[in-house]
Amino acid sequence: MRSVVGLLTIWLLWPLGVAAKEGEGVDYGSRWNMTTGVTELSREVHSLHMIIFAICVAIAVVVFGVMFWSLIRYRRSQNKKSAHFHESTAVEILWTAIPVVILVAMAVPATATLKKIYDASESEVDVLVTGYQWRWRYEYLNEGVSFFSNLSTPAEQIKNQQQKSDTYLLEVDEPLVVPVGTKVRFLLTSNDVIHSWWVPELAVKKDAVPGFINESWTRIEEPGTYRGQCAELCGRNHAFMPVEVKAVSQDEFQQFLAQKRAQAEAEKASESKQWSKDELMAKGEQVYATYCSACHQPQGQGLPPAFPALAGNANMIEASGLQGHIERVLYGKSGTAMPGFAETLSAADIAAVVTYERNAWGNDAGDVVQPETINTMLGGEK
Amino acid sequence: MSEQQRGVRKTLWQLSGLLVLMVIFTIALVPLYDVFCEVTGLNGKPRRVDDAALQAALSRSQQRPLQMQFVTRVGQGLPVQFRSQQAAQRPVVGGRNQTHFTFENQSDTDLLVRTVPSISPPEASPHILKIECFCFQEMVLKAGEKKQVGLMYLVGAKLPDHVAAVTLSYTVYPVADAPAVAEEASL
Amino acid sequence: MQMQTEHAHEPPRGWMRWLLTTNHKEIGSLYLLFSLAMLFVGGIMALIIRAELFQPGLQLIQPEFFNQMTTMHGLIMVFGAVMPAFVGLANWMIPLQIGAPDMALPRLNNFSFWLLPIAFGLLLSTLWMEGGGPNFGWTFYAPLSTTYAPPSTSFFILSIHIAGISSILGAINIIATIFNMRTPGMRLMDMSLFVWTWLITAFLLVAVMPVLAGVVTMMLLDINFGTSFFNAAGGGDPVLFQHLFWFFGHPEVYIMILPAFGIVSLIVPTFARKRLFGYRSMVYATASIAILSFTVWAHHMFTVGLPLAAQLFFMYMTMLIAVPTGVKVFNWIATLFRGSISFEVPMLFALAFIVQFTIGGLSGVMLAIVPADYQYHDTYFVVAHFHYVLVPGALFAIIAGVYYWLPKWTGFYPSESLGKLHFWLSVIGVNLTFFPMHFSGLAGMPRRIPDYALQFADFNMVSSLGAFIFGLSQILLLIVIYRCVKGGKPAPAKPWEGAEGLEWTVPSPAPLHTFEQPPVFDPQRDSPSRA
Repeated sequence: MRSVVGLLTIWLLWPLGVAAKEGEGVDYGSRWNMTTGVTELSREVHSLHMIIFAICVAIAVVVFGVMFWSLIRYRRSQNKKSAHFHESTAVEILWTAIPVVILVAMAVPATATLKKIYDASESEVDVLVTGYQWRWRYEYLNEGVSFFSNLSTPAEQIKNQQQKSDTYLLEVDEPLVVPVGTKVRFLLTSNDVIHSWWVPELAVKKDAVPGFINESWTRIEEPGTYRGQCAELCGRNHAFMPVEVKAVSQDEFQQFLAQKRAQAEAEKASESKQWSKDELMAKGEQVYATYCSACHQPQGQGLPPAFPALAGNANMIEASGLQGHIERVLYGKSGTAMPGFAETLSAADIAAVVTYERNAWGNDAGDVVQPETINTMLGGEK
Repeated sequence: MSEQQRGVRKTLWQLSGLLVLMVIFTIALVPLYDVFCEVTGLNGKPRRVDDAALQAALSRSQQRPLQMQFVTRVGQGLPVQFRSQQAAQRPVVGGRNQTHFTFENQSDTDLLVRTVPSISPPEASPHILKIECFCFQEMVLKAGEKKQVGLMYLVGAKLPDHVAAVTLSYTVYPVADAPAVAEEASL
Repeated sequence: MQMQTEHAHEPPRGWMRWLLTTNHKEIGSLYLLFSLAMLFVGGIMALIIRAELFQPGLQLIQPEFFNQMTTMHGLIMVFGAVMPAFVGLANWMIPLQIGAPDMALPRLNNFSFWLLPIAFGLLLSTLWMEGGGPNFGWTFYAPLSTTYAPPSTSFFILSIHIAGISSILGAINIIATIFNMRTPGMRLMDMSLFVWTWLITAFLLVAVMPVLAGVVTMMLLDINFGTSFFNAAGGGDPVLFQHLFWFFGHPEVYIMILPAFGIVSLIVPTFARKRLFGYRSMVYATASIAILSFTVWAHHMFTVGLPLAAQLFFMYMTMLIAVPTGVKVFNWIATLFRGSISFEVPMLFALAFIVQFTIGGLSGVMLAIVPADYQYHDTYFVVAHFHYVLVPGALFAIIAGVYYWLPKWTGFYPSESLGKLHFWLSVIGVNLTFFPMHFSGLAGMPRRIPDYALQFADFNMVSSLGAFIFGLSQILLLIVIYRCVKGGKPAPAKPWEGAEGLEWTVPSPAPLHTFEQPPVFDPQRDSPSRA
């Protein structure tokens, strides 16, 4: 009990909301307390939290104060004879009424803030956020830009073979980029299981439910990088699907979109050329590490029965298995954790990763898949 | 003693009754939930429209800015391309609105699919009434077929004023029993 | 008549005696021992979790095993440790407190106990099955627990069914006993608060266990028979699962705390040597908590995308629960006020319960505030909150009850010095474990992760150290119980001078058969609600 009181006191005396920047790691504003965040709503949520917290501490001080005083004052050695009273309607009514008043006082600002959060006015930027096991996909609606965002922390750091970086587990290959000072709406859904998209500094946490759409929004005031994580248990790599949001100026945001479009163009152009096996294997290894190795494992050994082995998979390596192999990568397997990548990886990526899987870790199919083949299979759409 | 045992027996009967009631209640919760969702818009389940609702919604058409955003998604393991003709439109509140979607079966097998709708924010859901929609029944997509389907919907005049942007999402899923291409290739 | 002839038989010897026993005291002991075993099994899993979380990075176990540990830890502690412990105490104490010779349905009682080892044997065996045991959290949200679940999930569902049937049968038995077996003259308002809280708990069990059974049956159908209750692809809804689960789950939370209220409401007056303040309001508060528990389930789902009106409704209802809960705490403190208080081990645990449960209750009020909950939800703040209610809360109350009634069960006092050592180590350990979790949660650490960002490292290290102190100090509980069974300071019929109730009128240790003739009960003199 005393340790509780002690820790509570330390916490109260700590300059609240002030970042304690010593040591490693990035803070969401504070290591002790909820972050104040960088939006009007996040500040409001933070102050609401501090108000309720203060009220709860005040209640605790009064209640525990009376309790401990009674324990000390009326201990056996001090008070041989106990009193006889055992009820009082007036007192009972009083301590039913007072909490009601306190609760109403808490509910009023909470209701006001909640109504603000449920604002459904138009937004300038709409992002479709889709949860995948175990990555996020961001699609700028009306902009023709979409990409996956994967954990970029190297496996060596997770396995303690390398010094962990300050942004350990909170860093991605491609962050979500949004403009500052603009209402950005997030539409959330999921490809497989329920995920939850959370960025503490934006005070946005919303579940991504397969088949259903949810929404949330933010208006970030300061440029910067804001980090978060998936908050709903979503399977094996739940801890390894962070969110990274980069808030930039309106100009930079437009540049970012233009650059993304150009990148997609270049990618498309490269699909018409003939790739050498080495090129495909090199690219395939990268794609495999990002998209496949979490389940099928770095050496293709899989985690049966949920995630089948690819190394030494006879059905797959046979020449006749090529078609099926490509289709599985393109469309996934319904009713399992295997997603389809047709919509999300480029034809070159798919050609490369299929080539890699067929020729790595002792697999010896020997065949090479060209991006063109993939495009033909997709009806020339991509 | 025997009176006590009669009492025990009576309690047993009563509790068994309560148990049966709770079991029935649990089973009833599934359809009840659907009704509840339709009424409150919980979970963005869109409403099927009947004449009365249609008339009520049409009662006064109004000019107000409303953005209707369409989101299309394809479920795991389905070789289908599914696009909305328009990414967004500005519908008439209290009037009929129309848009189109295209499905393309990219495989060489016929597919049986079902499209699951969802509306956000949930407050808007009871006010988006679909008159003609592809989402209520299963649909066959022949091998290589490209199919255009229409959606006619109505935005009820009672849509709360603070709702200025509505998202209608569709996810197309394979119907489980249908022979999907992905199943044939056994990896 | 039947019960009397049974009593006349010589009980079978050896293990057959325990297998076939219909005696409420023996079955109570079986329940308590089973729960103690499960406490250690679930505790070892907790220590595996805390060991992995001692430092950032993956050191000891892989994520898939970590997920199985968090899931199994939750399931075993909830269904295998806390609930059976309360049923064990009910078996022992309810007949003794209402002056009944046994439970109303002794054979059913035997059956409902023996279902438990079967259920949990089955559940634990899934860990060795292909693909591992359940790995989707004790709340087993669909579709992670259906479409994406390991093959062993059907066995998990079966074991939940068996444990559920056991709970329902136990609850029916308790209600039938309380309604029909009270000694002549004892009205409902003359019953001890432990009996009262259990009566209300039993009704909650009968009401919500069928819902749990329904949910897992729907899961089973989805997994094996192609239905789509929770599968969006088939026109179902994963969120429906959460509504159904929490419709069961929230009353379940109170199932795990109401009997604890009952135990503390007996111990505090005993050692304050003063009658419980506000007996009637305690009963009413318990009943209102139980009724309100059916109207707050969606506060577990504030981020799932409910309409504003629903969020507000569930926020207000949740806050409302604080009122009757507050009344209880105030009543306990009013009982202490101007008492003559001594600090024997049961009292220490009961007092720690009051403080720590209140901390859990206050963080519960914080969690009710929807906008703030967006930041708390699914973080370690929630982990801290419900562990404060369940470990330093419910578990401390159970331990308090064990120390309180051990003299009645064994005829000997438990060791006061070992007990005090056990208490202080437990209090320090438990707070060291769970208090820092408030901080890591507020700082942004999600729950159910095997590895975490570096800024959470300090608090996690403290939590892990605390967990090992708490876990290891429970070995003292084993030693205390073992020694108390073997011998010690002999206890009289009424070992605590301030205690009230019929259980203290029978000798210590309580003989196998008690109250074969209903005891005399004079409400004017013996009722806790007397003027």
